[in-house]
Amino acid sequence: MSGIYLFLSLNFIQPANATEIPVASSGHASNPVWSADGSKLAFEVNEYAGKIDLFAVFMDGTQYKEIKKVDAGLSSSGFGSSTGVNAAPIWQRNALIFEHSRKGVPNRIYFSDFIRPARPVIQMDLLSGDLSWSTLTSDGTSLYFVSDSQGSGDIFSYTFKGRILKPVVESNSYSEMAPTLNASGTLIYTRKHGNGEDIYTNSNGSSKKWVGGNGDQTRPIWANSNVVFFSNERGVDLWDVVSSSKPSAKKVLARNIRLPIRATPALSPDKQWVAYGTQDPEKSNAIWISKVDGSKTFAVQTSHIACGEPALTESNGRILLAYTALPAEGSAWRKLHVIDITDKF
Amino acid sequence: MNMFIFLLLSVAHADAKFDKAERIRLSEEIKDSAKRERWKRVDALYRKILKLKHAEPSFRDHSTGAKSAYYIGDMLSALRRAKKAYAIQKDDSLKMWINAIQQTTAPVEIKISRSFKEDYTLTGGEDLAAPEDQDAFAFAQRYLTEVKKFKGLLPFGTYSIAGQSFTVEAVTFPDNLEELFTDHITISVAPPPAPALVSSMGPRASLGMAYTGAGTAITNQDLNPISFSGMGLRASLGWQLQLRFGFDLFAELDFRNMGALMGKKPQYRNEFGLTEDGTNFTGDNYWGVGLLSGISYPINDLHIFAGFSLSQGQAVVQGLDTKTSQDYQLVCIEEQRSFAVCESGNHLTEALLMKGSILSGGLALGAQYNLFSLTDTLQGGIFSALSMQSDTSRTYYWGQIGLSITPSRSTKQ
Repeated sequence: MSGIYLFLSLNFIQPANATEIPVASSGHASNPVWSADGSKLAFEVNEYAGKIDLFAVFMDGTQYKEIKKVDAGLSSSGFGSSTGVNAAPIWQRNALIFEHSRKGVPNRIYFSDFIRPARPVIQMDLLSGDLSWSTLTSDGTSLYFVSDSQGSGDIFSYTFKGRILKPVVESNSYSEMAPTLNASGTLIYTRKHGNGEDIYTNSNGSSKKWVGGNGDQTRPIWANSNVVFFSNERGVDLWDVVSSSKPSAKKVLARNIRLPIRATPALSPDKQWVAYGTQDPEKSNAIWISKVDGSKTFAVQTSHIACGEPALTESNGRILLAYTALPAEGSAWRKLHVIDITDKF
Repeated sequence: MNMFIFLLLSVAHADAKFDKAERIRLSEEIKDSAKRERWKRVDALYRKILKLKHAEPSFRDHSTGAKSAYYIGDMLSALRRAKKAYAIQKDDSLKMWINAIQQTTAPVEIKISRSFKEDYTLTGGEDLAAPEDQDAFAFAQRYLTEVKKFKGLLPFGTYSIAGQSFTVEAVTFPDNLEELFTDHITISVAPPPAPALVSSMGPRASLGMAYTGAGTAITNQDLNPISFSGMGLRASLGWQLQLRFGFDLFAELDFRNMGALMGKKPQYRNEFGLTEDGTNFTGDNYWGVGLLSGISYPINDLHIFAGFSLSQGQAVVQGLDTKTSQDYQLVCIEEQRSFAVCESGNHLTEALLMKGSILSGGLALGAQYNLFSLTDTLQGGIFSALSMQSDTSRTYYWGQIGLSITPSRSTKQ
């Protein structure tokens, strides 16, 4: 018994050896997003000066092989670089889908296969306005996203083959956001009403409220049959990770978490665990991982501070965690790190 | 002479100046259209520049033209124009663009036969998600629909057209694009082989009552029998070919006879020794064989046919046609009657027996209505036919009503 206790204690207190992903851009690293097979990682670098750079990292376990800057480049001859915002990446097989906007140009969804210049997925003549919150169906053949072409946010689907655009959730009174799908295609999203957001599901064209509350219940994601989301029900800047196993049910998994810039709660590949950073300075040198049913929680200690923006994946049987953190107190920019935490589970 | 040369040179100089000015105008229009992302317009303007005899596109014309083709999905034109632009100015981004096209597409040539009438929609490309891949795929589809051929670049993937599948994979692009289509995927969609001329065949037969007759002779001969007619049988057996054009050819041999039934009754002249007991003659009769061949056209279960008929037979007929028989008096003499006998109005000429062969030919038409299936390939029904024939001296006719057996017509026809 004491041996097991000693092992757990050592595991807890020893900082893991994480790989830092270097980039030339200055700014805070944020929003790491793994590809499905864990071989690629995308993340943003935000200088908070109207410009967000997007990078794709080709990984071999925790080690990076190649880092490419992703840009919706438009020059007279086709390739080139542009300023503006390149953010919110998601992986479509070997390609990256992301949002791009620049001065005078609406926020649009772009596609890059790293060979050709990134191109808008949906042409303006098909659907105008700002497009955001893109997410893919489980087979990767269709994209769901939010469009403000009709004023408030509505959810559309777009099938790559044949370029078929369909409205999924439309309402004049409300703004829909943050759509994600489960494997069977049931959509979960948030609807903004008044000063808050509630969570809804949509299946076969029929929308139902899943869970509501004070403030925002936002960025939901399916964790098998559960829905995990962020909630600031306790106060504007007090964010919790919440799990909901059925409509109207809520279970707070962790309080005072560090809200990611734009990501949903970070789930483990088996969708049994959720990772998060915490605002508590005493605990912010770790990424915390809780079971979705709330039965267990453990920490992944790091040698950094203000850890947050976690993302989990499985690569060749290893569980990898990407997170951003400040190297030390007073550091200028948050950096991205990758660590193998297979042994923690 | 010198004046003529001067005029020619002046005209040529004016043409060159016009073309250069026109290129500049078109180039500016390309620039404006590109700003508004009107890529089809840019492509059309670029093609106009290419048609100018005395002006060459600039680097910007080529590169913007390449971009327009790229956005339209015409990857081969995009590659050609990008290479032309790169030949003028070694722009790194253009080089990347050229490489990108060459790393994601491969040459494909698809030819659809003009006589191919089935669906030839290009399908596949299930994994294509990149916008430019979708553009290239849609461009190929559109081009094929419009001109039934495509010679260009397709994104990597598996496609199919008119039942033929092919996979587009990476190739090494030659420096000279003229050599690009020396080793490439070629898909030829030929029309399906024409169906056999004869889709099926089988026996045909008929059996029924036949009414046979001969009209009055129209030419004078030594001896001409009078007209005759009567009822008998007709039986035929033949072969029918079902052609892919929707109609059949048939030929059948028949046996047909005629007896006294429904004909004139035999006459006996006891005074001349023509007694009922002293002769086998029981009335006008005919028997013969024939050939009927023609075309049959089906309308559901009704088959209408028309063709030629030929008959060869023997007839025994009682009575001389004295109007067209020049030597009928000789018969009286041969019969050892006095000449007066033939002239005495005692109707000997009506009782004399005439025997001879008849070879006649003519036209036939008729119909059959199929009522039942005998086997998978044979059907039965009722049959009627009428034929008009001639041997140049008189008209013959026969008509038949009976049962028929014919090959079943394939439903595909």
